[in-house]
Amino acid sequence: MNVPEDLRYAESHEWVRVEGENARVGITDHAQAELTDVVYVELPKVGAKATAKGQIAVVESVKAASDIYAPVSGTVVDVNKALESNPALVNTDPFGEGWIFMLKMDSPDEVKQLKDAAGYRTQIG
Amino acid sequence: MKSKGPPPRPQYSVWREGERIGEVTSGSLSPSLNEGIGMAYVASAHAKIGTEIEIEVRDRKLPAVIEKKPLYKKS
Repeated sequence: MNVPEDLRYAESHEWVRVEGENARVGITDHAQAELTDVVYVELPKVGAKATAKGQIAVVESVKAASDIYAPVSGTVVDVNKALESNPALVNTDPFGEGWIFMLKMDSPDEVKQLKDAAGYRTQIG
Repeated sequence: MKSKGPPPRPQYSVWREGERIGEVTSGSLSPSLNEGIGMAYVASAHAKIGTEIEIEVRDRKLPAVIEKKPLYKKS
């Protein structure tokens, strides 16, 4: 299972890529594999406030609808519109084209509380 | 479902003209039709083919229509 070294991970299977004061967020390769084929992504609204561990988006696969939680607190500054027409990007490229939203972080230090790649690898076994 | 969007799921409410008329029993995205399809129990007065209904998905009501089976016709 692919777990890139340069990302941080939430226990609830979201990844975070820090880009300056922003955090790009998606779900992990492990998460997409467990969910199976993604058929719909309910994106948050740009401008929405996110609280760490608060529900912010929904990913629906053929199996189930799953809540997505914000790994850190902040304001949504961008969402991946490409998922509206092609939600399967979450399956084919979870750490790249399949990103879900971008947060402007309230406190970049919150990222330090997330797991590193080794920690997340241990979690998913 | 009449538009692309979240597929219907079991226990979602079915509405018609502001009245809750039933509940989805099963549903998913049809890979052949590429739209959400499902089955639901509705009060028999509302069960006519062609009836315009709404499915409640996370506090939004999305348009759908009651169709005759089979939904997918091999062409």
